[in-house]
Amino acid sequence: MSAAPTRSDTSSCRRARALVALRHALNLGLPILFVLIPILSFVLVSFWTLQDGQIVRTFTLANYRSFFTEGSYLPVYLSTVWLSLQVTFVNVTLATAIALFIFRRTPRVRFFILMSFMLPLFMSYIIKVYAIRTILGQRGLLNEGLMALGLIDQPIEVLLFSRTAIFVALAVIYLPYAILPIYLALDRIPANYLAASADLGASALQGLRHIVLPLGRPGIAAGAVFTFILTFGDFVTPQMVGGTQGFTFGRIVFSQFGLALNWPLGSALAVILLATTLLAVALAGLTLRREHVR
Amino acid sequence: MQPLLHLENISKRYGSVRVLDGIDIAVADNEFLTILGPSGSGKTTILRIIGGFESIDGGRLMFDGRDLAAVPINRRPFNTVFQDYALFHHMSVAENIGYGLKVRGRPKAEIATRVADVLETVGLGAFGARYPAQLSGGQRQRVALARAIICEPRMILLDEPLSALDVDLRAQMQRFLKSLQRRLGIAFVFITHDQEEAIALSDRIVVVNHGRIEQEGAPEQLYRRPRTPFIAAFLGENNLLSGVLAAVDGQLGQVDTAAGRLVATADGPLPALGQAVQVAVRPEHITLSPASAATRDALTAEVADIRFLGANILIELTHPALPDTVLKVRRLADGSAADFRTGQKLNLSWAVHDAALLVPGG
Amino acid sequence: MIWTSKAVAASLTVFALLASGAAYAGPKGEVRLLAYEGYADPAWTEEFEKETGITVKVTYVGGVDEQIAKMKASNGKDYDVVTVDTASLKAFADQKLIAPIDKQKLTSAKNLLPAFRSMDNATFDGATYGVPWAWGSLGLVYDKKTFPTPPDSWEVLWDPAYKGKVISLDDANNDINFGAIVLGIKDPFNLTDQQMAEVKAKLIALKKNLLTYFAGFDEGTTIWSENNVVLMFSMGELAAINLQKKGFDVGYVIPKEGAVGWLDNLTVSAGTSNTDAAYAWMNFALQKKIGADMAKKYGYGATTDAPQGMDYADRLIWAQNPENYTRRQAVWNEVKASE
Repeated sequence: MSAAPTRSDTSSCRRARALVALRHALNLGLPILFVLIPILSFVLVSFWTLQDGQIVRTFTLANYRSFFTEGSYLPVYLSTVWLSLQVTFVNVTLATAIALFIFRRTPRVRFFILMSFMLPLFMSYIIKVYAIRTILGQRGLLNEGLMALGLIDQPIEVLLFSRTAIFVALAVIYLPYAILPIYLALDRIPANYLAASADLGASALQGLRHIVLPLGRPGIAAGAVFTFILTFGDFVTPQMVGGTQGFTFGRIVFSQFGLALNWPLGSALAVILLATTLLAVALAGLTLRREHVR
Repeated sequence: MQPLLHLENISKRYGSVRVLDGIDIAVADNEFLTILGPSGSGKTTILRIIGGFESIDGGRLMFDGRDLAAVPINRRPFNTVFQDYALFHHMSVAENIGYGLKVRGRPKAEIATRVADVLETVGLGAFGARYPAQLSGGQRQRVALARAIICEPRMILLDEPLSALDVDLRAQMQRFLKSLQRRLGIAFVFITHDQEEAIALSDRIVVVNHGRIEQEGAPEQLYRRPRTPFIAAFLGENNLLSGVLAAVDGQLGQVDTAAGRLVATADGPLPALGQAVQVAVRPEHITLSPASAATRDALTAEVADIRFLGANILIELTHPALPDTVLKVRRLADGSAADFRTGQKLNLSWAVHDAALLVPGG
Repeated sequence: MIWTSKAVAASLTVFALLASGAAYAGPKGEVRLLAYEGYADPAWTEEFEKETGITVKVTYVGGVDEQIAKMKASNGKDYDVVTVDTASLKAFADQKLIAPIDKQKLTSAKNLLPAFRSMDNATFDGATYGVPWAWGSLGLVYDKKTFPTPPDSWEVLWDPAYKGKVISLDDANNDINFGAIVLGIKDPFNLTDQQMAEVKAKLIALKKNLLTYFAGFDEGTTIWSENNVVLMFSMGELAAINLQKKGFDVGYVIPKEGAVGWLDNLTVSAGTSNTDAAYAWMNFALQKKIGADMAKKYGYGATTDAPQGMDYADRLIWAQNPENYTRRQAVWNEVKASE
């Protein structure tokens, strides 16, 4: 009699331990399965090479060497980084202003303003690009409108299919991704901080500088990272609105997986793209080092 | 003498709801004034009006003879200790405290010296480099105080600053606040709903209820001479007996209650004869004696319960003519109450000056 | 051993019956098509089913890669008739995914136009693997108001007079074919390094005259209708048809240098289980009326009848696999990245 419960105890104990092990396995296993393995697999492929249309599985740095020395990879990479940085700067500035505007409304109004800015997120990405193209085209809304008003007598041709168009389209499409984190960061600032700041003699501008912006910094950094990563990897918008200027790094990566079927080079370029975005995240993380928990 | 801060007949409405009505408070230099009231009484609104966070619909707010109406928050010549301190969590203790000087553009060296001085004053000399998250509740309280006094205002506002602390710490902080106020020699306007705290700290208390001032005075005066049933019930414990004013002799009034005629002392003008009034007697002021002894101005009641409360014994009695009332009597637990037992009939008596005559709504 | 294999066979049959239960097979069985969009119009399949009692089941594919993947999955056992473009025929034959055509059974061969009757394009190693069925070209779309007479040379795209009014297909392989054809290179599918450099320079020069590149029929049409475009190196006849439907007065021309042409063939899957049904469909599809209907509805050229305006089949250069896709992609990327 006395042995029986002991045995069942150990077996239930063993079962519990197995469950814990299973949970750990899932915690660890799922990310490995769905994130790490796919990434590692294309990192691996990036060290192979293509010969006569066949993938040769020997370790080589040739693809990475190609990036630095061959064709147009490096110039396009740099110009894409520069474009993304510009869009990021403009978007973060705009989004901070908009987030501040929302933040200063009464709580009931805030939600509706925020939602109205988030509305484009519920729309298909491709529809937005088409809409932008319809607006900016030579026979588009903007040109027709300006001509109807008599402000111009010839359509402005550079509106669409130019670097300006890429810039405008990327900024418009990714603005909500910057507004949301910045607003959420501002929303977390306790209301009485601003009261205390004013009470201690600070003007609204001083409060903005010493309280709001420092506390909004994590959101601003997140908004910047989102914008940079999304614009840097976008290979559709530039192509569709940029005309002959619409060739970005994402497009080069994409092209390696089409008819060219150069998976090794494509993987290497994708690794470089990934490394760039990770670098952006790391830089953003660095600016938050001094953040103190409440 | 001109008061330092004077709220003159201030009123405030939220839509159609009148939250403050005819509030008139004068704060003297160097005074510890407490605005006491239950939640919803309007005391926080008063503080917010003084601080500049709320507008007023009527009356005038004067500081040192100057109307504050057009003075924005950041130009008002006093500072606030907020209810939950509102310490900036992204700044160190020293940065928090120096904030007021920094936004006034004071040189860095001066800020450093003065921050160090104030840290000493509040007893946090070594904590300047810490962050608020690394401090205990009491320490944060001291930082908030230091931040409010560093610009050397002639007055500070304190919005229920002790409510977040536990009992031991609260007692300790009460002593600290009081001594700090004496040392600095500035006026403290203190908001609280805790009557014990108010009594322990204040030079003067203004009791607010339903947006109006119920009574104001020194703590002892309010305690001993409550003018209204609200004050009598809100400050400490009281036995309240309702009746009608039957006769008047100087400040003494004779009140006919269901349990018989009682004599009570009025603080202020007496109402007309025949008006409904109340008699308030503190449980510790009641003397108990065997029912056989016939005493004037006494009630005979039956012991319903005897409760031992440590230093005190609380005796609860009932009177057949007062079915809804439990009469409470407090005795020191010195053994003298050992004779009492439930069911026993006792005489309750008190000194005439210990019975307060209250006018409802007055 | 025998009874087990019989049991397995029986259960497989039952399983197959259950699996095909959803699709009703006609009294004469079923023909399974692996086709591109537009190659099995519902009107035709309905008529075919009524005529022959054979049920039609269509699987559409978007490209060669997908087609090869589907065929390889079962060595062709899932399909009876497959449409294969000329450039890919040899690969399909080499991998034994399609079977040689039995010309005896192909009674409709007599309907083919003389240019296609030899089936030369589908004949190698002594066998014919496909019957020409539909064709098209990558020609020039022009605005008739700007060009009352059709431009006779591709060089018009490089004319600075039309700067910003020209759009071009974005397709690495076909753009390089196109550049080579404009330069008069004999074999545009096998370029030497020297020729490739010339093509690249030619395409970079074109880029300066372009409003933008486009990909796909719809995008070409949309860009044309929203901007002041007068010339397009197009994806095919459908581009002009779509624009005409939208009310644009445009023409379609194959300039004197020629143009890339594509020719799709009907082939018989090597894994077919119903050869008769396969030939029945091919004979049905190769009727003149079906060809005419396809030309009208989809703008593809039929091999049985020259549709109106499509009189240039002999001037097209039928697409073949290029010397090196990877190299062409790299060159095209450099063209697009050029300033």
